[in-house]
Amino acid sequence: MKIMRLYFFLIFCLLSLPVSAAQSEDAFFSDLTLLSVAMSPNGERLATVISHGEKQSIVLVDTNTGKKSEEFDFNDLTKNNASLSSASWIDSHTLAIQYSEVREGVLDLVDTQSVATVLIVPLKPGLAGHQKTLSVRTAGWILDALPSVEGEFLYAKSGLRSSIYRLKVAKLYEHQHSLGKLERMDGGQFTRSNAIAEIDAYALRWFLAEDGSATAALHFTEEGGLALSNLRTPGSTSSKAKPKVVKEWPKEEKDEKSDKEDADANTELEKKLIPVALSDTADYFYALDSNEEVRRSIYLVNYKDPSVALVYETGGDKIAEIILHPTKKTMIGAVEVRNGKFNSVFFAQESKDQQHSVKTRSNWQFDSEIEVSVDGSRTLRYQESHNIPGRYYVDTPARSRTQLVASVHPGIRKPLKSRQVSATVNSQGIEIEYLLNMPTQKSNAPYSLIVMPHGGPFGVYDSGYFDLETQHLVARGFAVLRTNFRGSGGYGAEFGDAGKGQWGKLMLDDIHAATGAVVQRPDINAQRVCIFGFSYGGYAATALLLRNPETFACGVSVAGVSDLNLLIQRTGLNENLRKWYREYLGDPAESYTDLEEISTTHNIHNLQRPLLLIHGGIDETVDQEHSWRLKRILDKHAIKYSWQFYPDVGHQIKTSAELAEIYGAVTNFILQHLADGSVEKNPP
Amino acid sequence: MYLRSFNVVANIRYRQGVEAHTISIRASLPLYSSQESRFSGVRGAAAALFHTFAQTRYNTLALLLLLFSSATVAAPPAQSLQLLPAADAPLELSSKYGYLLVSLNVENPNASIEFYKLNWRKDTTPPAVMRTARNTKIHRVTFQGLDEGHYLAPLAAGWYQISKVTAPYFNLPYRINVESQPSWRFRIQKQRVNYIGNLTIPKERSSSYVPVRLHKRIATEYDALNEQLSSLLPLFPLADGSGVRDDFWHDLLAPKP
Repeated sequence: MKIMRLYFFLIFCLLSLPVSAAQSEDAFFSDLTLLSVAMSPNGERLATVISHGEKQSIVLVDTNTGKKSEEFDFNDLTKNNASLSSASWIDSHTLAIQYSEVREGVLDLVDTQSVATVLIVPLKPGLAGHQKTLSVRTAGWILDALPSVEGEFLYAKSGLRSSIYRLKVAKLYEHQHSLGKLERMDGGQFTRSNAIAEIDAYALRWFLAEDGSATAALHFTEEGGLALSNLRTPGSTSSKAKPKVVKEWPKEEKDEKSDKEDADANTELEKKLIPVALSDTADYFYALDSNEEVRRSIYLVNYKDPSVALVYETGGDKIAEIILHPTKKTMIGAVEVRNGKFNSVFFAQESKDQQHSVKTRSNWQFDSEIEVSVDGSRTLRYQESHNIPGRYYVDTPARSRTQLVASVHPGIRKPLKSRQVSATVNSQGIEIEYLLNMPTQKSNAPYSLIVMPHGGPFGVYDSGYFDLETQHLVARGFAVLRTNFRGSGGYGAEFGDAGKGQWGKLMLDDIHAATGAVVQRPDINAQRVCIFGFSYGGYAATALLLRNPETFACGVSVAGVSDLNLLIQRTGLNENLRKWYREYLGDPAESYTDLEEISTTHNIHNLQRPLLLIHGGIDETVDQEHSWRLKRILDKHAIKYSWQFYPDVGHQIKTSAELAEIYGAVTNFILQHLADGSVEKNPP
Repeated sequence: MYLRSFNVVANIRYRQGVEAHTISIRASLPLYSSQESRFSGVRGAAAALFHTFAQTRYNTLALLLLLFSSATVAAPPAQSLQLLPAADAPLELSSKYGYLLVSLNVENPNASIEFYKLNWRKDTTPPAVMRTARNTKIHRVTFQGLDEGHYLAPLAAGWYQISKVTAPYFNLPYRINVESQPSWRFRIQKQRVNYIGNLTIPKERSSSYVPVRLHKRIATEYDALNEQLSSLLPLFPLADGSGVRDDFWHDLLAPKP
């Protein structure tokens, strides 16, 4: 008996070899992440914003020597929790930092407990630290740091009359300096004569032309709606000329639902395209749809001569801002919000047609210039691929030199040993793209496969660029399959619409078809396939485990939906979201039984394969009740399953420690159930 | 005889759901009179009005219509419903009553909800859009002094609609009208303990928004409910008090195939 145990132990160790050889969870799920990079006008320094979990800091990088110095630890600079929103260069030795910090405010009123602060930091040469920190005390935000103009910047202030002011750094006072009787706040610069544009409304956003003049503003109307107004009338050169409303969005009633809304309940949800940036083409704005479930789609809109075109869909988090090339003014990326932090992501320069066609993109290599120093001496370049996390390089053509200056995941220093295959499969008449990632090292045995459907499911997609979770699993020796099933973003409106009403139907067929194609490969072990996902991915994992036990040996659902009627009929949804659910999933009032048929709670008693359920107790997107319902039915039928409940975890896992713990649990579960190479069947 | 006109304003109060509305009808009615009014002041005006109206059949009809339409339908005042901690619930219940069971996580002591009974006596789920009967009794529940936990209240069997949730903060009001949302309904079955969900009203809020929720969590709280209501549930079995169709509880209780 002991010999048998030893034998099984040795086999387990051999199968687990890639685990010990690979990097641990800690190396992948580190708190240290680079959020953004800004290059000084002379190209000699970079300001990088680094996240250390809850903390943030600014690290200056000397582009000549590559040396780094941590200039600000925000926990030292502010007494309270600060969240950095941007760092930009006013000139080659002056940095502007905008952040919000928690203040006492009114007890329990969260919107009074945050204050935005603008610091101006004159730096000493090189990395010798900074001089006295200045601040702008008048509430507002830096609109344009004017890096080509020494010591000046544009500042926006909103109120009944909103204006853009041209401020001089030299006139500002030291941060937290007590003003004397003869001193005027911010050097008395907020005067009408110093304003370069104004509008008699509360402005939310200003749009600047290439010459720096304000051309349009997004502002509130007297009725509480929104409007986009052109600031320059034809023939006028002054931005103070009377604005002309180009587009208006009336105020929406939020809570009171009128009879009219009831009548409109089944009409298609309209897009509400709010401009966020001016494009390089006259009268065209980049806009986001505020009615979108999560703002991931970027549109190019002409409000004057109405036209709308979808130009990009990100597969990630909510977009807050669009990043334009500093000189060409073309869109090169976006600032996304993840766990309350602002994270810069860059887009590959594909044409619209390229992005919206389903095709095999075998070359998922991103390498693009994102900034040029004002003097043209240096270029900041961003590079990313499936096995290399985002990296920033500075090119100095005069010296024929390229230097790596920063990395998005500093813990991952070398390109990871993984390869990626991108291909398509025809599923029910539609070409579905999938990505297969595998270790590069040769293995005598074919790889175990983890099928990892993405969450969302609408509008989200898996790209072939660097994905931390995928690479972590590959480093542990698995092959990982990600499928952009119908309804995913990134392939155009028609492909997205093809997912309507297919939550538990053709979307699952697409994932299964891609799995079927991949397990035909000689380097994949068709007997060792496990399915694992978050949110919708968790639903798909459970649903496919139930539907296709001949394909999947085990499954893991993290924060997975289990009951569609429960999901749609929950409280707290606004009317737009209720409409969205009716349109994309179905209406429980009319199709309760259909939605029940595809709910895993309804079918979980048929479970034949090992299943791990993981859920967080403060999940506000998919309530914990979804996993508890599965648990109760499984208990009733005395079916074995694994269960992990994290009382303090939400829908998005915020800390790297939690992520490492959950991924550790997931990989251990999968290893345990794939280790013996056979499919363990639950007792009846 | 000469003709004069008289402006009449009729205030008509009516009810739509639990909301009382007033509309004003302003009409210019002709007054036929053979003699000038001999009265003065308010009494004089009233007497003259009645006198002149009574002189013609049309005016009499108009007067009756005016009197009828002016009869107000006042919204009855909301009746307070006391929630009892799970441990204090009496073990006796009138035959047509059931227990409302709610899990509270209300951090705002000034918060309250209002609800009323729907005019629906069938066992099937009521339609999404329901007309509300006149003189519907409004129940109001306040949460002052109620800690996190499970609470009960005896209530007549039937379907109910939560119409309003208020969560004021000093002089900053917050009221959300959820009357049109079926997800804010619940059902009371007689001689049952009807779990309607987990009501969450957090203390922290913004100036204009409070994330109030009624989570359906019968599976999540199943163990806790059985433990805390161990003496009550043998007498009055637990039921899912969801006001929209939800087959989970039925599936869970159904015998194994």
